[in-house]
Amino acid sequence: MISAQILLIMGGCMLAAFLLALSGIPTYLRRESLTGDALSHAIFPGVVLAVWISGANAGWTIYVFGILVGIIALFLIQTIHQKTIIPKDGATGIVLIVFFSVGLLLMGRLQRSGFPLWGIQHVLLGKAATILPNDLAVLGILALLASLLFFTFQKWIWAEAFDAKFAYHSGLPKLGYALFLNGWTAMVLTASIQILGAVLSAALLLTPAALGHFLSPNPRNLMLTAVSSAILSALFAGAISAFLPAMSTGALLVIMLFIISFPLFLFHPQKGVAMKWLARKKEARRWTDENTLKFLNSRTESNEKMEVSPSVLRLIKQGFVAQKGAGVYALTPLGNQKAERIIRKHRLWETFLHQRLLVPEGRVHDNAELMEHLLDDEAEDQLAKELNNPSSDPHSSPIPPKKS
Amino acid sequence: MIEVKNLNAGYGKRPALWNIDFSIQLPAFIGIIGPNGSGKSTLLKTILGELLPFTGSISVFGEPINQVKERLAYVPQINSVDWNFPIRVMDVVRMGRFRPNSFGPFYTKSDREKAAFYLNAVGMTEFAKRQIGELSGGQRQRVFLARALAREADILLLDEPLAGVDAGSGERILSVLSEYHKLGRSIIMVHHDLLTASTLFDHLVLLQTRLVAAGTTKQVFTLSNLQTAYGSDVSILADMIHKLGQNPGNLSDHHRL
Repeated sequence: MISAQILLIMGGCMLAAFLLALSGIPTYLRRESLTGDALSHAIFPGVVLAVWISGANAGWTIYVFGILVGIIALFLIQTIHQKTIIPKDGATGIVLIVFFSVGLLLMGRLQRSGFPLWGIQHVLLGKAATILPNDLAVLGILALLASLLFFTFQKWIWAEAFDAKFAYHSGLPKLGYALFLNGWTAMVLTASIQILGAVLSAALLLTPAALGHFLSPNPRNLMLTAVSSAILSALFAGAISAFLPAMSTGALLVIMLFIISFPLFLFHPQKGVAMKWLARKKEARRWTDENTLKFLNSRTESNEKMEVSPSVLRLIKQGFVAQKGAGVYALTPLGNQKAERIIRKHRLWETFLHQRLLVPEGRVHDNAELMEHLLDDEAEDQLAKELNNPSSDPHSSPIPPKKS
Repeated sequence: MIEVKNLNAGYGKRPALWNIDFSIQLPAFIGIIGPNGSGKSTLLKTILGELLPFTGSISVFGEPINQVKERLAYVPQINSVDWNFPIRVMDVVRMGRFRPNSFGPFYTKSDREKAAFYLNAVGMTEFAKRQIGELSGGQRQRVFLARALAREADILLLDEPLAGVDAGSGERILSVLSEYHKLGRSIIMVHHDLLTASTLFDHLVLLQTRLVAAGTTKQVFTLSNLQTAYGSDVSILADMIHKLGQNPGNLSDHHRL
């Protein structure tokens, strides 16, 4: 049975995920991801101050203070970075921690004096499970605004993130854009840290954009991937927390995002780390097998006993090698043909190096050992044509003709 | 007309340019030349408005540069951006058509056509849908050139566009630039190769922190000017004279264009 509260949680998480994923894209693409992290923590004292001053009716004052304190923090980061030798990431880290500490101290004082906190005690870890219809409305309005802004200023966002100087030169207002973008991010985070907490908000600002970047060749796909992965994670997280109420919905959301991203990161057909490793491994095996074929072909005494290697076993499976007795292996006609092709490529390349690139005869072999594995059939044919189908290599060894 | 008056500029407290004064009638194909560290790039950055001068001023078409920014387009050095940025070649060239009133997700049809036209001009049409990260150095430079051309600005500024570029791309870039100049537009380009400088440009600005000479190539490209600029670096001069195979006394006569 799905209760109204669960629908509220799921709706809130989806809206927050959508809002943060979309708003995080410009920041991520400008290589300012740490700024989002800093903002999510730096606005904390602003939120506490707003509650201290306005109490239960804080409402929009929270946003004013959040944005204001956020901008001050970014200004400080910029100043430290420009006026000292401290690099930007260092300055960001320092300001983030100092501001957050101030927020903690302020909140401690308030709590000690028995001042009602009106919900801001959740700024650290969030309170997705106790989300209110009011929160949903705020998130909904912000999500709508974010979509509108993103639609309207899309070209600005890509142009500025790719080459800021060129964009400014084309008339994009430098200071105005930076202020607006950071102000917007601070506002979105002010809304979201009250529900999801500072840490999770920062994670949701950055992770979907990073996933989109990993998977997408162009800005539009990046945007779609980021937003849809965030919404999907929110759906799963909401569903899980409906059955396991003790689990933090916000934390589940981030973990879900990670669970979606991680297999892609490993197993994406072209970009996956594991797939790349497998492809390299396969390539290395091919080289070994080709060398084994060459070795078997070059033996004068074919009844010689030999150790069986994984490579020989693979070649038997493929029908290139046959077992002739205990420890005796020989090439099949098919295997012989394949070995001759590799030798042909090797010797053609040696001839090319010697004749056309004037490499001395004694120095062509090592390079040909590599190229015999790399030349494809088309390159082999062209090479043969270019060299007028030579019948012997620089060492006067015969070049096997191509049988097809 | 581009007019540079009493210009002192540099980084921190150290001036890279001292008392630069010159004016050149536009349209022109202007080369900024001089030895390493002579302030070539600094002059270009000051003209672009990227670097504020300590003293002095630069005006273009009779107006201070910050009021004519729209009439300038520049080609940055290729290592100034992240080439892993998720974007295709044609998206980069379309950015040349960006204006602050470009709202919405798409460029207009005429913008897209212009971008395609200039992509074709630099010979990169077949790469239109490629990721920018897949391009070679010379191809990247051509894409940047196409983006700047797409702005259809009156003055094109370039900082050593041939540095680190393969011969094929280099030739293409130079031929596109001279076509652009023939349309009545101006080009201001930092260049370090003296051998080609004498035939490429119709005007030269020769720097050695101070201004050595500025004017038509014939006026500037003389042995005494080059000696003033390159001074002790005799090997460059000797090498050049040797390659040109001519009497150093009338070096400039040969280069009357």
